[in-house]
Amino acid sequence: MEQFLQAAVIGISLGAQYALLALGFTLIFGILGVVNFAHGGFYMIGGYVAYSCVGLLGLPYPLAVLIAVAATAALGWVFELFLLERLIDDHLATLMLTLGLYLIVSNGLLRVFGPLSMEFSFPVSGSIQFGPIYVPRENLIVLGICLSAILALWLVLFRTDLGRALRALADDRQVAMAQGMRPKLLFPAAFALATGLAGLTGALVTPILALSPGVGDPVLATSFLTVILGGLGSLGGAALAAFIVGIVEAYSSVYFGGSIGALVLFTLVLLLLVFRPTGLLGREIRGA
Amino acid sequence: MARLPLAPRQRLLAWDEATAIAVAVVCFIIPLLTKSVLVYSVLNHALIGVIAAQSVWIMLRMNLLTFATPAFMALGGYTVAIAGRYEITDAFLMTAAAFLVPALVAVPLGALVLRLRGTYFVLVTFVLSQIMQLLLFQTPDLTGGSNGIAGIPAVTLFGTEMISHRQVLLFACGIALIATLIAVALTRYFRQHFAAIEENEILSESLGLVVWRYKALGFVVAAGLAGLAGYSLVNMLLTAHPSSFDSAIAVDFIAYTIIGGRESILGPIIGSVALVYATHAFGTQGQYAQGLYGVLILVVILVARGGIVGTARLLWRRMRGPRA
Amino acid sequence: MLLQIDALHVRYGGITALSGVSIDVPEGETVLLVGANGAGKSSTINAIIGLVSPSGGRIVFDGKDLATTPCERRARLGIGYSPEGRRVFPTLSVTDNVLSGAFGLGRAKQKEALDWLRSVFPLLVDREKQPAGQLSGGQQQIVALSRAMASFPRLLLLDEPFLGLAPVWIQQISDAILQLRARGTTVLMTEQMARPALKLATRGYVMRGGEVRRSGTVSEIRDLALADEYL
Repeated sequence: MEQFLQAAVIGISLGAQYALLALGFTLIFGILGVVNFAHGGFYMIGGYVAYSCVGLLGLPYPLAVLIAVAATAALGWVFELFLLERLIDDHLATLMLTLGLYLIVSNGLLRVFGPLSMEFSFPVSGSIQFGPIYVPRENLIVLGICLSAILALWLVLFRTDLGRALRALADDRQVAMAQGMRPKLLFPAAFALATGLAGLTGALVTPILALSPGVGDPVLATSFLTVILGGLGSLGGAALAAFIVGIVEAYSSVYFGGSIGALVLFTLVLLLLVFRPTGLLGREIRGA
Repeated sequence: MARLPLAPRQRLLAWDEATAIAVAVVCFIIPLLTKSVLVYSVLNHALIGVIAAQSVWIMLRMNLLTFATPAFMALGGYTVAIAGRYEITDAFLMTAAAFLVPALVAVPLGALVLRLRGTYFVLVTFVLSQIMQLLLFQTPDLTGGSNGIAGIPAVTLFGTEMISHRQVLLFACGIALIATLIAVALTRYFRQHFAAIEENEILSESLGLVVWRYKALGFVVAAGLAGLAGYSLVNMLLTAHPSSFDSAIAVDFIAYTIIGGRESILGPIIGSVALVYATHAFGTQGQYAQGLYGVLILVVILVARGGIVGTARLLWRRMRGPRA
Repeated sequence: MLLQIDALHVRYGGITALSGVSIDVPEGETVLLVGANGAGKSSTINAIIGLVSPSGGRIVFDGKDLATTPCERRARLGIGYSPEGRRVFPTLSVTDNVLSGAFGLGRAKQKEALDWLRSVFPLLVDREKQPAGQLSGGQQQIVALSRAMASFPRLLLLDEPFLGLAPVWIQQISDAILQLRARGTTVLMTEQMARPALKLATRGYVMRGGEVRRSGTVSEIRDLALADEYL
């Protein structure tokens, strides 16, 4: 029973991290129609920027996280505005552009920081005991920030002019433009929002998991998994799927070991893609 | 934009296809001229890259970008590795098996995934190669799991063990030639069909082209070619290991094809050779090559859509000037 | 003259959609463009809102030549647009659809628009949270019309507002347009169904094959417009 609950704690913590990643990824797909292969790259940049601020500049960790968010959002904004925007309607081309960016980013980080893992740990340690189970403080903090960020994103998208405009542009770009919405202003903003979320996740999660130039690949794979499971472009679906993926991973690693859980999830995702590309929640999606 | 092919006269081979085959033939001479370890290494890697990139290229002819190449390479490579355990090493038999096993797997798989287009197809092939990677780890009895299969016996050709560096390289040349011939034969014979699908699949279908048939054929042959690349890779390393078929290597083959140029079969060939050479020239173990690929991909997508071959062709035409 | 179109030419690739169309829309009037499918009505509307760029001619709105004004800025000048086929934002709620028409006008103005439109169309209250894509065609037309009106435009462009609607809805939409007219809004509308549209208009243009065939008051064009309806 204790093991069962402990696994649930791990699963929910993972789920919150995956949700942050997946929301950014699905936002970009849902609004711009771009599959962002560089998502893992922004996650890594977030991690390395936070690491550099703390380890090299001696800044306090919370400030480092904020700087990481700002840096990744700024890079995302520039990349969208100057490169992606030129080819925004060509889905294969934008995909290749993000792939190219990812290669440059991961290789750049490799050159600057070397191939080894960084000594980067979360500034808070210890656990809180709830009856028989222990919850690491760092996981609680990350969970809290993740849930707040998800709430904030939801508020932006569904309670502001900006969010409404982004969703309108995703639905029908031409008509949205005729209402006075300017994609050249709003699309970079949406991209920056999403890459900022990836940077936030990187800054928060790499001290707990690991920080090395290779961590972008599994992040991308997990984002794919979550986003497809939740239905490409669906925010609610992605959040729900993130917790499912987190919990499945936690339980399968506790009870079965190895990668059975991942195999089951990927197979499920393959079948979903083929037979029900709208994902779990079955929301309307944009055409590819 | 590709033009709808309205070929006034059908030639047996276009100049680029003939050049591609000629290049593959000329490769046989290189191992006879030099014993340089560097040349051997670069050439062998390039030959494997050429085959895998041709597999990517065939799919791109139908406007489908695939990340599944490592999965089919693994099927081909592990087929040979497992056969090696039973001392089955005959070159012809194994070449056929390395092509046919992935091709046969691709038949039902294609029926599933070819329903998807564009972005969704990309995602599903990415998922496929993740699944293959996980499967390799989950089946230790068959594939050796995370240890892989080491000590694979060398190929035997007409009773001779192809064990020396030169023999291994010559064998790699042979596989690359076969793969090039297959790729040329397929894309030449069905040239107009592929071009129509690339241009506008829905329109072609409404005009009576049975699109799924050609897409399935292309997918199956691309899988078979990837299997040959896997065979060549396993034969070079004499080991079949999951890390050789990591889903990340799909990016390399896509880079070779896009940077080389997607509009001609010379693209994947020139792209593979150039980038593999650059990888070796650029630094130890090519750990800095990825960044170079990234930059080149951006350049090709943003300013030189035709890649190396397309740009060269464009420059050539400009130099010759407009002709009546 | 609120809107003045002078010798407008529009080409799609090699196909000429409009050749030399001139249209005047005086302030406060409801002008009808009538004609069969392919006559050039939608091309005219799309050129005014900026979704297609003309190959020749001038569009002058309120004394300003629109040639260099991109689509996104024209809404700000006071042009509201309800597209052919309605094209509501399918995943946005009814309320969000209406508010998106008042994009960038600030909360106070948006609330004013929403309150006013809700008082005109009770549907907007009944279905406020429903995704607009789930509504019936007539309901969607109401939403599209409200979206176009939410910025209190000086000129309202209505492209085929009756297309595919049942008579009940045609009546409702007509009533709504009459209400807007009573408020002093200038309307330029296109319609294949000349009969109900003629009841709303003050002036009209009959279009055929990308050209204006006849123009004038409603009574002057009625016979030709109705003849076209049965083509």
